[in-house]
Amino acid sequence: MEKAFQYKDVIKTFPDFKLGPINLELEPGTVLGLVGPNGAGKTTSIQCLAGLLRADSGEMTVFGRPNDLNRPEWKRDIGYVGDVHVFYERWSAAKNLHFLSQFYPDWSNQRASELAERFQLPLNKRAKDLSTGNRVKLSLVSALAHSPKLLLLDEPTSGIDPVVRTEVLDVLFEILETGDRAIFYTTHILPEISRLADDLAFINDGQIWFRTPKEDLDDRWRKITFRLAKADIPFTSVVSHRRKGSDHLVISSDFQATLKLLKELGAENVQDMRMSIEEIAIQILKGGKDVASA
Amino acid sequence: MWKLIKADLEYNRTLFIFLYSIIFVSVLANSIRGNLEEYLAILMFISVGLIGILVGTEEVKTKRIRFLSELPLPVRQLGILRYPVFVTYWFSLMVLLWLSSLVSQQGHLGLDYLWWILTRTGSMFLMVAFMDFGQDLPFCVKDKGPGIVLKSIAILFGIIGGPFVYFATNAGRQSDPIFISLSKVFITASGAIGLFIFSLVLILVSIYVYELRRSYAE
Repeated sequence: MEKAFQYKDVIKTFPDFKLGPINLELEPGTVLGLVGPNGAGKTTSIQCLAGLLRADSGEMTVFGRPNDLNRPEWKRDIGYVGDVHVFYERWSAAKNLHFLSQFYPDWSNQRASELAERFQLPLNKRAKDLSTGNRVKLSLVSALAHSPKLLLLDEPTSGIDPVVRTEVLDVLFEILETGDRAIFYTTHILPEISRLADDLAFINDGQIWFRTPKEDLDDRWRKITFRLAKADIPFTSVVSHRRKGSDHLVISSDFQATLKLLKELGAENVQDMRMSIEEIAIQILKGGKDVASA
Repeated sequence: MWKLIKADLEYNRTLFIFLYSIIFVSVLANSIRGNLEEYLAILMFISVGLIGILVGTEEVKTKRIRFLSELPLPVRQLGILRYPVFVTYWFSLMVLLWLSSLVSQQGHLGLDYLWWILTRTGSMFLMVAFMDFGQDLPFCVKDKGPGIVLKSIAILFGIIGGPFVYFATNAGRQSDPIFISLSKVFITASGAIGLFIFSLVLILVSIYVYELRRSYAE
């Protein structure tokens, strides 16, 4: 089966920033969250794939087809929601959707109407009169109405209020449950990704540090508290260590190994606590590439 | 392509109707009164300028290039798309002008008139092509600095070169030696056709430069 997308040694340079080389791929029907701080290269990565930026080198494919800008049939398989939502501003939402429908053979007006209703999108309002939240919803309807096999979502909930954000995520979750759509989702809002993603990839300074299934992070990372008089402990997988007297708090990226060590050292009152994906992601992004690959 | 052209025309319909109304009234006046060709030419130039400013500004502000680049359309088609509406508009104005002069001169139009129309058209295309690839050049190079310099040069050529030839070859301006020389060059078969072909080549260059952009995200 063809990969939903593939990046092979993709490089894109700007005067003050270099992305890549990026090597990344996504299986059909899976959700990959690309997590990183502002300026890490998330938007550049996704814009290269969507054809809005021309990479300097490397190859990208979408369901096996190169993302050639002069042979754009591959774009019919994708739904893209960018960080900026652009339309014919003096036209209504409905007219914009009608315009877009002409370019996608699989566009369904019924689906567009259902999504608009689900989002409570005012279709008769001009695009320029829509609120930020409604502009996001219009972009989502535009991206989803032709039932794309791959969704590229670049911080789609950025700049919208929590209520609208929850609505958007609820709809995305429904879509995930009902189809085998692949989703490539970039965000720096971590709670979003913890709900949606199967895999997480961490990016910073234009480099993808590593990629892991979300369950692995969940299974491997723990906060551990324990009591031990010894101050210097030869941890191998601990990314953070705080001590007050004999009381220790560590964050471990391989808690089984850490627990084994603590047992050997005779630590007392050992307790491990699960961490949320957000907490884990923060530790990874704070700690750097070495923590990411530990 | 036709869907995009139709959308463009429909979206800017009010502006085109307004401009055509004014031009049509003026053309009618020329048909009756005659000898208004120079003023009509100025009016038509202003109308193109207005379209450039109003439509062009809105397209930049609303990121039209990005909007259309998200569609499953070949980038070459989007580069070509910038011209059909303008070219059709301009040719329709020239046809109106020619018809009204034919009526006012009672069918007596010499070949000079044809070269005059062709020179007008060539200089207008030249201006628009330079403006268009001036907009694209900064996105074709890695460093912003050289890109902005190239853009400025291209736009200067456009806003100076095109209008200079356009207005300087007005049939009525025969007093200044420079204008007389220019008229002698361009209001001739070889001058007019040469300028027209050169402007078409520039349009093709502009379409090619559009494809060279490294970014369609703006």
